[in-house]
Amino acid sequence: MKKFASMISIIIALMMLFSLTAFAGEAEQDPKYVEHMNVVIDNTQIAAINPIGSGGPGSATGWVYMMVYDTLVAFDDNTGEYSPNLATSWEWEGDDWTTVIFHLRDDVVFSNGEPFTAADVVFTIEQALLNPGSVAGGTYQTVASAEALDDYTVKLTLQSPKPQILFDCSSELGGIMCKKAVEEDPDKGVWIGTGAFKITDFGTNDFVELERNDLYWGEPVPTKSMSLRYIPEMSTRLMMLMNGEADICFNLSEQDLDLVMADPEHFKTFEYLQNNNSDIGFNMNDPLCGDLNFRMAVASAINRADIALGGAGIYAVPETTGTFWGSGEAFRNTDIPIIPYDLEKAKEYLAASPYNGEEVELITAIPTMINASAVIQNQLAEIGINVVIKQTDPASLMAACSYGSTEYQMYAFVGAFGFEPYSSTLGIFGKAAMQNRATYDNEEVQAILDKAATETDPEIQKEYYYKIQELVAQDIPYINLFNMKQVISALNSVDGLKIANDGGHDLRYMYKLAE
Amino acid sequence: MIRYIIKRLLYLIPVILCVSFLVFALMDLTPGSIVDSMIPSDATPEMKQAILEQYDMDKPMLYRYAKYMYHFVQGDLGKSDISGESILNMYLTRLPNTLLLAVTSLFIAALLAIPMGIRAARHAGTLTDTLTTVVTLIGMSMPAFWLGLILLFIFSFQLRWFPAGGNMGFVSYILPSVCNGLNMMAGTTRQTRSAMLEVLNADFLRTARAKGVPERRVIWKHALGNAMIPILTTLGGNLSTAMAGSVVIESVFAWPGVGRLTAEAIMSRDTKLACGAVIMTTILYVVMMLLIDLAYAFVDPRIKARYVRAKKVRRRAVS
Repeated sequence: MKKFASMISIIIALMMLFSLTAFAGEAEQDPKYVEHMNVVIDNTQIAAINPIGSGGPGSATGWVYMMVYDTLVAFDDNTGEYSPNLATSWEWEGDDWTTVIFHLRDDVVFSNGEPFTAADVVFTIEQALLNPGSVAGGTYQTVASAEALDDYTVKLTLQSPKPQILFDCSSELGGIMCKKAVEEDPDKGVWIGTGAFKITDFGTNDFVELERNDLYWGEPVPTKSMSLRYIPEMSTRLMMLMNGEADICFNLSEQDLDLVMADPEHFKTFEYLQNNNSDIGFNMNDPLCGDLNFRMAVASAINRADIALGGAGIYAVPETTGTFWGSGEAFRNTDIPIIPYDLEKAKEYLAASPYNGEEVELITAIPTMINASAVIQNQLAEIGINVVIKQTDPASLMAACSYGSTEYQMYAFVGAFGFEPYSSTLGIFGKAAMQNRATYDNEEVQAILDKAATETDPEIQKEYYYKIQELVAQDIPYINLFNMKQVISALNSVDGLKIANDGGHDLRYMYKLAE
Repeated sequence: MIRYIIKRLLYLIPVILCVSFLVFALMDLTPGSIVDSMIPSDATPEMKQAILEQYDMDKPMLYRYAKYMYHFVQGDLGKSDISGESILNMYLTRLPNTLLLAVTSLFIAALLAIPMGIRAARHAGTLTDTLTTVVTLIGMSMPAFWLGLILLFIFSFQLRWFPAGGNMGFVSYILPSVCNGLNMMAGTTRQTRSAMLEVLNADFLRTARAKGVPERRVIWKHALGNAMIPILTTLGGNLSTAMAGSVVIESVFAWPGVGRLTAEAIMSRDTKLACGAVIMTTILYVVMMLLIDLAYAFVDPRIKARYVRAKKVRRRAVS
């Protein structure tokens, strides 16, 4: 009997010890917040969690990367300033903007417990450079080499002068991965980061399960776990929000948003103006569209308010200035006047152009721009321009409307602006750039861009970018039509979402209040 | 029988060659390619070239196709250009979802369609028959996405009995299966009705009735057994189509199946994934159709007898 009692006490002691070790290291959940949140994502499905092995990510992939990986530096969208993150400080070697040295934090561990060192930074960048089509490959494309000077110091040597490398190093797409984990398990090792969350499960283009990383070095996050689920059908997303299956839901249709907004007792919305412009672009290589009088005729004949209303109703905000620049981007020149809506003037410009009543092809994709194109077609018909609309899918449009292409005359689509003005400007107005769909080629713009490449003084930068906007407004290769107001719907108890108007939202500190 | 199976399976070779080439050629003809979304907006010409080379997009389509098929014949479907994941893994992860949905849908369809079709045939020309025809016509003309949304609205949003989207276990199968099953049910009911009408007045049934066989047995064993071939063909066709995955149903119910996988691969211009998924579906389809053909022998004694007779003739010829 005595032996039996001692055995029982040993078992109880072991069980207590086990329960203590099982819960060790696990942060206590604040009872104010619910433990789990369900996030329903839109049509930008998550194809892979692998910055060094996959390409072409949608915006939701970036949200997950931001939750799982940390970057060397942080960038403030509002102030445009850089601040320490995994790197505590950095300095440029010499004054040619080709070598930068980062000093790293020494108190960071990955979610698997491995310490974070310079070797991980070097490994991430080297892997990215080996795979140029990957998201990290694109991010670090200008890096020539990465070298660990010691355990907590990294030197990056660039192929050409680029002060904007700091912006690249702040991108979640270039988050730092754990060398040891990736080498041990190339498939799941890439899921290991130093970020606020860790991935527990992932289904391609379907779902991601995340759990709070209790080893996170930064401010602890309020929610213990999150599920991000890709729901392609808008109506299904609405029903999931309304029946409580989802706590927050991205990208509902305008009609569905009306339903959500009609019930403020249960639901709330987060609204922001998208950085990207919905625009018309002209093929500057085309004999007709390359003519300034024709472009002026089009610009004078369009009524942006009607196009915005036709395109996306109250969710489209018509452009009020004459600049072609991201709505939330630094150095936006709002002094440039808009070309006024004047049909008589438009007819005069058209008469002076080589237009002879022929069909003008306008290529377009995505529902908003297809609707807007129908309004544009009617408005241009008023001055006698015969527009034929060609609908396609975004991938086909992007292929047709590339630099130097002769496959189209006009397009109606969305111009992609980022938060770093040099990269955006180069990408949209630079010679042979991917987003330069108009094949715009102005030597003066190019010369200013060359100077802007290494300019870091905000006053001089402002001068450069203002001038570029003025030149572009004179040439009108693009006409800025409207900006989309994006609305995210959520339960009333949800908060903490940090909105970025380029779509790169920060979900890390999102929470749902317990009832 | 074995020779027949081998012969049918050998047909797969030219079918796979044709299908894969068609997918590659069509994807190549479609504007846009996988690298469009990978080249950063401020990429240097060297960077663009490096990305093109990485995905062989600087080479002709025939080269990429030959390279793909070279790996395919060695059992390697390759990796998705977008996710970098093994295509076979991606397909096999989604296949059980599609298979289970297809089988449960077929079960629902058969459970409703066969009794309804028999009842309509037995009461041909009556109100029951007319009502069945109306119901099946509605079922055939009702778009799957509309039916899906209506089911979601009633059972998920209003009654909150089932989840609206995704695979959350057993309860998640019910709405998409019912939606798919109701769509399958319409055609199968009409097929059952017409097949039963052909046999209901046959002499062998009259004989059975005269011999005192109970009516239930006459209908369900003798009549249905003889009408089963066209019904089985319809059900088999439905099952094969469902196994290829329904993009519409998978989208409405956010169902992670192979249909959506293929459609998404095409939309994102992931040629290797699209081709791999189509090849796998083709194999599945051909095997499924073969199984249906073999099943004829089990439900129809005449076909079984033909196989047996052929076997005896071969044996006699050998001896």
